[in-house]
Amino acid sequence: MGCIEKRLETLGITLPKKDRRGKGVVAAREIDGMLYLTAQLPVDEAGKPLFVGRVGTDLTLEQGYQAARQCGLNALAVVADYVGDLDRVACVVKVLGLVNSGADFSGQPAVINGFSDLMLEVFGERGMHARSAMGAYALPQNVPVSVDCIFKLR
Amino acid sequence: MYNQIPGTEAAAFKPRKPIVVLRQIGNLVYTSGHGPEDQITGKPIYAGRIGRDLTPEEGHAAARECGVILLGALRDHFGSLDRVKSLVKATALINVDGDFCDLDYVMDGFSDLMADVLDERGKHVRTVMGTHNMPNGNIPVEIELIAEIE
Repeated sequence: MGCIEKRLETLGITLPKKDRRGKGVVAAREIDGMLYLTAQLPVDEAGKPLFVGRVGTDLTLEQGYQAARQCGLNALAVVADYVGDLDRVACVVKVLGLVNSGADFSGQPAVINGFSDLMLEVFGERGMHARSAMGAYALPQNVPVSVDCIFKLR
Repeated sequence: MYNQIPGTEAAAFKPRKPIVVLRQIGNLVYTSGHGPEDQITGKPIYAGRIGRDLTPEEGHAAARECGVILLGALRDHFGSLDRVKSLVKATALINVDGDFCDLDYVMDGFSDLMADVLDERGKHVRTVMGTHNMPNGNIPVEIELIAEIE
């Protein structure tokens, strides 16, 4: 710990935590019209989890579905931020949904439907996508769902 | 605990036949998942689950080691890292136990390294997931990468 950090500690001052997911990490990366996103979590604007725990033990399937929908909203926000206009989305290409699963829970596809249904609502036919859904043993900040997706731009 | 991988004592560490270290399609290169393993013997440099056998700091170091190995694989294949136009996407599997879920901290070992080595070109999107079982003596981290080459 540096001198100033020690001083902050003596003074009882705690600096606010910043979301710092590695120096090299960006929200989106575009290569040849394909937009890759960093896996989206069900968090609010400040990056604070809106849902915490494993689906099947701590959370119900319906809560998992809502968490996946929140991942979708966050994904759309990232895309909109990157391209400026969601009309530039040609289609959703591929989705990998990870569900923090407790005990014998095996309803991962039903959970990730929260994300997929949102894409259909928003983009119609263009929102259809290839998808995998799997159970994870752990996810960052113990969130229930993480969704990784690739969009094609036009 | 892990001691030795049967059958690999002397042989150089090579992926099994149908699996390649990386595959290039156009200007994109897709790598196999790489663990923190000695690239000659195949022996794990780190083994075990983070949160039980290993500390978060060891996990962070293991993820960094995966990054070093991936950079080595790219350099071996393309002759120079100057040909890496940019990283695109990293996917990490992190072997955890109990309630450990600070996966982002572990994976920062990789991401920070890429930013340090490649600067802007090292920027990437990423996915991190916690798993409970991994190959080769239960390695703690495995990372696969998509990169753009020129």
